[in-house]
Amino acid sequence: MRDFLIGLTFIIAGCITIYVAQQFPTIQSLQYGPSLFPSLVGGGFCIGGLVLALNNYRNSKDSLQRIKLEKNKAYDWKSLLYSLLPAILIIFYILSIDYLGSLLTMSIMMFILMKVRKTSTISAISISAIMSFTIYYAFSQYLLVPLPQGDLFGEVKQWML
Amino acid sequence: MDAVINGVYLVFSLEVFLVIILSAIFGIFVGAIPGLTATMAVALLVPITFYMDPTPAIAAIVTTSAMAIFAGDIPGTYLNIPGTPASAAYVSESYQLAKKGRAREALGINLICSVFGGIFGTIVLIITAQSLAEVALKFSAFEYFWLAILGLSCSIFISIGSKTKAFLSLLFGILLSTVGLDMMSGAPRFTFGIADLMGGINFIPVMIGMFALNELMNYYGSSSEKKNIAAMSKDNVFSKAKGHIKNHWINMLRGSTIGTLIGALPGAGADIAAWISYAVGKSRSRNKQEYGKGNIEGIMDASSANNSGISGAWVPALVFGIPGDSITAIVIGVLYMKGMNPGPTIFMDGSGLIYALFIVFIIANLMMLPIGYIAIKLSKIFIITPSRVLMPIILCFCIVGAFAINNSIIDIWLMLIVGFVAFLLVRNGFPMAPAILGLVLGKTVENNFMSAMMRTDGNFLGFFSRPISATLGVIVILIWLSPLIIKSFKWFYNTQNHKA
Amino acid sequence: MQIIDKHKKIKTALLSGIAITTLVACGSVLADYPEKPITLIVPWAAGGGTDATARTIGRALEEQIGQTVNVVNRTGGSGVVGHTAITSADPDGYTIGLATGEVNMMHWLGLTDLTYRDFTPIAQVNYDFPGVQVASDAPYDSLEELVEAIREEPEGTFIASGTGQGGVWHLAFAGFLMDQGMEADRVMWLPSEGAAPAMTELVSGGIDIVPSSVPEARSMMEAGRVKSLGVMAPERIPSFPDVPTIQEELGTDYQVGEWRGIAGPKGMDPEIVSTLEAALEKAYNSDTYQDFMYNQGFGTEWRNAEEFGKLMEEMDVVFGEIVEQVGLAAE
Repeated sequence: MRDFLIGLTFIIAGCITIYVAQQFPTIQSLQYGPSLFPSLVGGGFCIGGLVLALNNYRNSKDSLQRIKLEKNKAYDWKSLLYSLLPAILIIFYILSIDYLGSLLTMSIMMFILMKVRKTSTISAISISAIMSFTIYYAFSQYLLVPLPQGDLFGEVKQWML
Repeated sequence: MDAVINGVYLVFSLEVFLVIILSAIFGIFVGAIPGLTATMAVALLVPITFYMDPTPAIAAIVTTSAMAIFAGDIPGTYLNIPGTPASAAYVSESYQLAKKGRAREALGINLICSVFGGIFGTIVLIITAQSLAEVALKFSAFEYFWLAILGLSCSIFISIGSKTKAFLSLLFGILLSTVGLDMMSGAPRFTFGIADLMGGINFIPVMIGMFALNELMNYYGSSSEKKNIAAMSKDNVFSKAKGHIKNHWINMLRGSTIGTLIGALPGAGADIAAWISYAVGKSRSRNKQEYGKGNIEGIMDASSANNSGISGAWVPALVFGIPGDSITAIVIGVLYMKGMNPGPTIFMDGSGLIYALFIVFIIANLMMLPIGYIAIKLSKIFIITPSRVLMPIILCFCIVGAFAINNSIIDIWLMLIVGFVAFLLVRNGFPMAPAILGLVLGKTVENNFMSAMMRTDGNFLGFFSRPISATLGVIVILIWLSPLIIKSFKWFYNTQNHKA
Repeated sequence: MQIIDKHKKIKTALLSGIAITTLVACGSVLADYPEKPITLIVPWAAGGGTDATARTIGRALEEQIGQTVNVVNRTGGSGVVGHTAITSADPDGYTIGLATGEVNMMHWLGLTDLTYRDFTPIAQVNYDFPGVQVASDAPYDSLEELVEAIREEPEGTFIASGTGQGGVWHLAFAGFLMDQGMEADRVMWLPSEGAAPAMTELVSGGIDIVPSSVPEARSMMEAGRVKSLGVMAPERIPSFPDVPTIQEELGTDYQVGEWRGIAGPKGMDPEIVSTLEAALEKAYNSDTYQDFMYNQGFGTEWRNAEEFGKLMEEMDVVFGEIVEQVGLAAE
């Protein structure tokens, strides 16, 4: 059943790709415009998706039982939610670095992730502080990667005065 | 002869050795950290080499890249996160071995093959650089098109499981490669008005997303704290290596040869080399069934091709100033900056710089043995650190690593989105390695196809009108038809038997 | 014990760090610019010619103003990404960039809305002129013979390459054809990822002309595979004295090239601009910069802020016309 849905998704994705590709401008001097390759990929998506869906459909009759089994497993929503945690934290990082700065954001992320897995608070705080400081310092000082310092840092500076 | 002696003098100074040791350590560290890659290690070195003399500057880059490429296989083995597109070819082999408690054995043989491949490639470079470069110049858009197609085909044929899914995964990678300004028409594609996407999609954030973020999401999704990888006290770095080399020396030699030859083509490089070598190894092996399930042979094929390909890439770079991959592109820039202009004169100017370079290559590769050995020993840290501490740190490295390649937030978004898609696909039995190769080679296929078509006025026969191109084309077609041929042959054979 | 010591050290380091930065931050904004490191954005990849130029001028500038200059590469999209990053930075003088001639082309091609008006020009430091390179076994020994051949053979016989569609060498060469009284697209343009892959195509016989800058052809010229028939510059390039100018060869005044200069986002304080301008002039004249550029064969040309602004304005018109003629103009 899953493969059937995935196949359908690919077919839809393929159609969208082809549609978007048709909007690309064409140039007289070229035999094939910039839309050729994306269209081919879109076509490939459709064909591959179709094969996937059909194969699944054909097999599904024999494997009705398997589907029942799958259903019995009862999709574990809680674990799916947990698996999204890293993704959510990445969004948190993107949104908050400009204000909090890389250093603080990284320590918060690490702390949360460690707490989720029941690390003791003391070691979670100390490890995330030390590691984020190491990463921040190594990258911004030695490797010259401009990791954001954060506006908060500036405000604290002002406030201290 | 004077030039050679000059070269020796240039290398054997305290400064150069210090630089080699420091960059070896730097390379090992950067490469071994999941989320950070060899290309990034080299790119980060450029501003620093700017302040060095030519010999130490080149030594730093060569050593760093060789080390980082090997070290990239350490997180690959323990966490299933490859360090380069080339090592994506064999990452599942070593991960499977790690699961069986043979991580160090796999890394040990990988190290030996890497050193062997690197030195093999360097020796070929020293002896035949000039003539090999002549051959490389015969390759034009037609040949590169076929070669890239050959690499892509290999990625499907060596994948285990559903070929349809491997094919779709490959297409996903190719689709990602079309994002950005189209080279031929200059038209922006799939950029959605975001300026940062105009430059196209870099493979590093994608690779981090597909492999590292995917692993992270799997870990947080499962409630078990148990490690996937097993540690065995019997598992030793080099103790089994002798036997493997004795049994499979042919794989090393074949891999190195394929690697050097393909690496020497400026439009191809180590990525195609590793995949083709792996595929050739699989088709020639007596234990085909074991490939993909933790087979030492596959590691030997691909890792020796990977490192010899890196050496091979120096051929066009040094002889004609044409970069073979992203690392040599950076090095050519550094060479120019140092007033050491690549080109045939670099072999003749008597300053010995070129020989210094060769000596540095060999030293860097030899240094890999002891430093790599220590790194493998230290890699125990991946086993003893509890996952609940290790995984958050990896996440931070992933973010910083994705950001650092272009200093752009867009790359973090990209890693996130690709990682999410990969997470869904992998759960449903899609292999991700073909997608990486598709992303890396998609542009090569498209640009060479378009530019070839432009020259032949849209005539497809152009792809078969040149001898090398025609040969490659026939090989590709045979590979694609081979399942059909085998099937029909079997059918024919069966009906004959029935009749009899 | 050791651990405590380490903690102490980190603490003191942190505190002193904060103290220093606060001390610095409280001074007046303008009085002693620059008071912190300057970021120099380069719209092209690390290791390339523009990158090398930026790093050298950056180092020379460091010596003049006594502050670190951090070179940051923001690559891709034919320069759109990096130039956008320059213009969207704070105009406080701490983020500047090495703008390149693409500023005058991108908006005509419809890639971006960004024009030269979005920049504060500070100083031009380099100018590279395109040469006309052909394979050494090509039957033309002079530019005149080549131009005649292009004129006589039917349209599309000759193929040129060296950069992407609408890139600087493409437009410069198309402009050259127009100057010679031919259609801008009489020679077919085969887009490539840069001069290096075009050079291999030139040698393998796939294409006929590579109008890149002469230094980009250096290694192939030294290998005896490629010859440069002429350079579209006002005078011969010092490091390539054998390559004639098109003025000598064809008697034309046409010259178009790739300028590179330091520019900041729109709306920079004039005082900061003049501080930077003065420092850059010294940096430009320093041995560090001059020696490097000479060794590379890169052209040096100085224009102060005002003249640089004028150049951008003039070139914008020139490239607009060429883009229109080639048929690449966005509607």
